[in-house]
Amino acid sequence: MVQLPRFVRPRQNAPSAGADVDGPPVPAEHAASPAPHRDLGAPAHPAAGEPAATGHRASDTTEPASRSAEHHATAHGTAGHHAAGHDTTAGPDTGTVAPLRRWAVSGASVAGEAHIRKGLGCDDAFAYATIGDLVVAAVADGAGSVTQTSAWGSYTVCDRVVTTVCSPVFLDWFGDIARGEEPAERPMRWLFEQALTALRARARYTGQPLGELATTLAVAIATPGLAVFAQIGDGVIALRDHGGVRTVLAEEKGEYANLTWFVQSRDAFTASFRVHTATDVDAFALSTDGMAYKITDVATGAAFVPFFEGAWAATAANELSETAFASWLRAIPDDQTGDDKTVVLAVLGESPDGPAGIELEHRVQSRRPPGHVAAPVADAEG
Amino acid sequence: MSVLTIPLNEANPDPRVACVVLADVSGSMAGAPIAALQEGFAAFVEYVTEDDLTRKRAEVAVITFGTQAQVAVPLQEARTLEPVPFSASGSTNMADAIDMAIDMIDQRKREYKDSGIQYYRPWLLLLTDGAPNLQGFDAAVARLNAMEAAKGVTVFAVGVGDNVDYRQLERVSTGRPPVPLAGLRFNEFFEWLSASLGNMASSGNHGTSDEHVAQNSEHQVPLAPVGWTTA
Repeated sequence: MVQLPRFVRPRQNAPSAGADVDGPPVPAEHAASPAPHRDLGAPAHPAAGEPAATGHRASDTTEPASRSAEHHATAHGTAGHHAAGHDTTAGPDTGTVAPLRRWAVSGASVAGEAHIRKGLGCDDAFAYATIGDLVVAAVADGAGSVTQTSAWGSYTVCDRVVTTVCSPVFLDWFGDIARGEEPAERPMRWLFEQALTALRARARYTGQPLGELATTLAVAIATPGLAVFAQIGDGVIALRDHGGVRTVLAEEKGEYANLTWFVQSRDAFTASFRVHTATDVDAFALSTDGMAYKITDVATGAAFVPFFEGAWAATAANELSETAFASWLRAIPDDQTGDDKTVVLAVLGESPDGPAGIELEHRVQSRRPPGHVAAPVADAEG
Repeated sequence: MSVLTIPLNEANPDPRVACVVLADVSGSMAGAPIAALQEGFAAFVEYVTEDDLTRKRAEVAVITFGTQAQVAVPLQEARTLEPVPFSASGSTNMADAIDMAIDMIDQRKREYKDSGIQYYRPWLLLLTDGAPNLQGFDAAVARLNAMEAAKGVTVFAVGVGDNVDYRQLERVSTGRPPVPLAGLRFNEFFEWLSASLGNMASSGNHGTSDEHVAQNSEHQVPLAPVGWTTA
């Protein structure tokens, strides 16, 4: 049983086999030639290559032997790197002996009334994972104008984001952010570029235009000390800290500012990509736009606090299984949008004893869209 | 059945779709046509006030034009609409009516934005039985075409009877050709309008700016089946 003051402390007794089983998918792309940011997988900034190097530091003496046979155990190695190096000198976020705190997370996604009426499915997607006291969550809203194919877009970006964040490469980089050695902007941009790379790969594979996978993306990565949020396009991000409950990164209001951007929109990374960093966040929520009328004041974008407090309390009380949450979402009598609705909630709680044994990754993902890859868009809507 | 009691915000105003009807009440409309128009509008009021979504999301105005244009029904939520009498006289000052409608729509959009109300692309429906006065017509049409090109409005033009100058009327919309009303089926026309507004009001094609609405409106909202035209 291991107590983890901040993201994942190395387990000294972990087995040491299988060190390379979970080799990160990212470094290869990382090592590619310098190129503009939007040319994905090849960040122009030299430091972008660093996580790859760090992630591979298997022989580093500070690296505990925790890349074990247990799946996703690479996370331990990553965290171990900074935990071992900086434990006593100060993470910005914790005292010396912090109690074990873990994220309770719930999420669900349901098709909107307008889609159901036309016999269509849900174009939204979500995914989340927890590793020790770190949580990553993503929600995405596939464009209604390319319904059905865009469901694959949203599914693909959520999948790629959670997979990437759970890799040792990224966890290590996130450790740098947590220690104030790296501003959050660059790793998050790189993460979103990975999502776009995944969309491109899928489009190439299926032979469909990239635009048919059009999707927004909102991401949160949080530990008890540090939370980082990033977003392209619309959707609601809310958090709770010492100052109370508030939304962040809401799209600007105004004549030209309130376009809905998609990850693959031209200029999305310069015009719509935005990052927010907060400390001491003990609860957050990501939602697609379909819930905006019910959980915000649409005129100002401000959080409708009772919803968030209620939903976090239900999550903490373990009342929001995906099934229960989905039926609750479906039962909203009038959401005023008819749109698909997706919400992921995370709230930090004291873990009584923690699970005995190892720090397995716990991962949840919205259902895979139906199998067709290139929906006949022409007959999808009038 | 869920036992969860998580509060939701019920205070947000619904998104709105504004619909301005421009009705020709020139002298040639006297008699059966104006009576059919009046009856058709009364039926429309009934349809839209009965539909849950339309009555709170659609906002309707009627501008009549003879020698001058005037607001017969100020822009208001559909639920407060009432039938009004129409009477025919004078010439066909369509330009005046188009200008008035554009100003009305622009003003309403400003109010939407100021109040943070999301909106659908407004509709402008033009019903005429003849040829417009030439005075100011080119300028008004240019203004309307520009607004339509900027995706600021959707324009429908409808010809009533056999004396419509379709050469002029087709200039009114760059997006869709004018459609002749079969006989005097104003009733069917307004029923269609009500149903189409209902489809619109239940779609997701709203936003907080014209650009946002345009982006959300890549696909046409299906209009109700048309039973009032010979086209």
